[in-house]
Parts: sequence; structure tokens; C-alpha cells
Amino acid sequence: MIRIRGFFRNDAGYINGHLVSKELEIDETVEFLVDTGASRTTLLDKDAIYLGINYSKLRKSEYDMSGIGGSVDTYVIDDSILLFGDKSIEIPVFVLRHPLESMDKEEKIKILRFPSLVGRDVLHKFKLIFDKEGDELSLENRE
Amino acid sequence: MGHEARRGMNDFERNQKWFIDNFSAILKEYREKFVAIWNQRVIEADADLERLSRRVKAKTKSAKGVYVGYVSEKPLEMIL
Repeated sequence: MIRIRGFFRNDAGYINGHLVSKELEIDETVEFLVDTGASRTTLLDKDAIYLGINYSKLRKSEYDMSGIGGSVDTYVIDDSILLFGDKSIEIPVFVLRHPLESMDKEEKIKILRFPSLVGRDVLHKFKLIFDKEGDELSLENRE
Repeated sequence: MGHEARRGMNDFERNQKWFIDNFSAILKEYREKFVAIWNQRVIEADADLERLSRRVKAKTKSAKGVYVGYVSEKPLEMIL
């Protein structure tokens, strides 16, 4: 059985995944917040900016996604592969793009501090152990 | 996971751990800035993330495994 270990920072649980997209020429590790409330695994603005996401190469999502402070532009990386340990998951990764240029400095920083999210589309492929008191956060591969 | 991806992830995790373990010292010098960690040291710091990203990629020749974090003592409250 494969077990991928995450960690807690304050009371939030994080896990690292490796994102690959040939179309976007991305092959980088991303720190994801474990978010059972998120239906989709989603890159937020900080990682999108650092990874140099070219939005013009992405499909705009047909779904309205709620970001922080309301509805935001949402894109999809259709050819993305996420690697957690040795488990490879071919799943579309969503990308939120908040209107940072129209925000004041404080609001912009608040948005840019938010981590990317690993959502239920990925989490349901594992057994999730989320034990803050025992300092154990892990994804166990069922296969 | 391929060899290159594994190496990139290992480097990322070392830099991430260094950021977490040394946060108090980093806070003294780089409060309210983004910092880029590579080879377990701060290689760039800037309040502007896009500017920092450009400088880091030029400096590292777009190396894998760089960790970017925001330095603040204010807790990040998230209700997602």
C-alpha cells in the first residue's frame, strides 16, 4: 500500500502534488491545501502566477466557480496529470483567476496568500487520514 | 513518478521544510513579502509576486523545486 504523507501548518492540512501539463510546459510541485469542501482540485492565483500559467492556452470553464469574494474567471487545464507519490491521476485541474488588478493592496495580498486546493475529485481516490492531534495526515492508495 | 519529477519534488520539499523550520528568522528580515527558497536559502524577496517570479526564473534558469511562501505573522484565516 502506498501512503503519501502530508503535514499540518497551524490547523490546516497540506499535501504536495506534482503537476504536469505538456500543453502549458509545466512540470512542477505544488503545495495543496486538503479541502474536502472543494469539488475540484484547483490552482489559485499564487501558484498560477509563479507557474506562469498562460490563460490563453486554457479552456474557460463552463461552470461558474465561486472564488474568494464571489464568482471568478475559471479555466481548465485539460491535459493535466497529478502525481501523488507513485500514483498518477489524469484529471482536469481548474485554475481560478481573481481580478487582482482591480483590488487594493491588502485584498490582493489576501488572495495571493491562499493556497491551491486538492478537492474531492482527487481525495475520493484515496483513503484520507486527517488526524491533527496525532499529527498524521496521509493519503493511502486503495489499489 | 519519473526521476526528474521525483528530484524536483524532493528539492521542493526540502525548501518547503526549510521555510517552515526557519520561519521566525525569515520573518525578522522579510516581513510581508514573498520569498523564494532554493537550496535551503532565501534567493529572492519581494512584495510583488510577479516581479519575484521573473527574477527567480532568471536567477535559477527556471530550476525545479523552488518554494515560494508569504512571510507574515498574521494567521491566514480560510473559510472555503
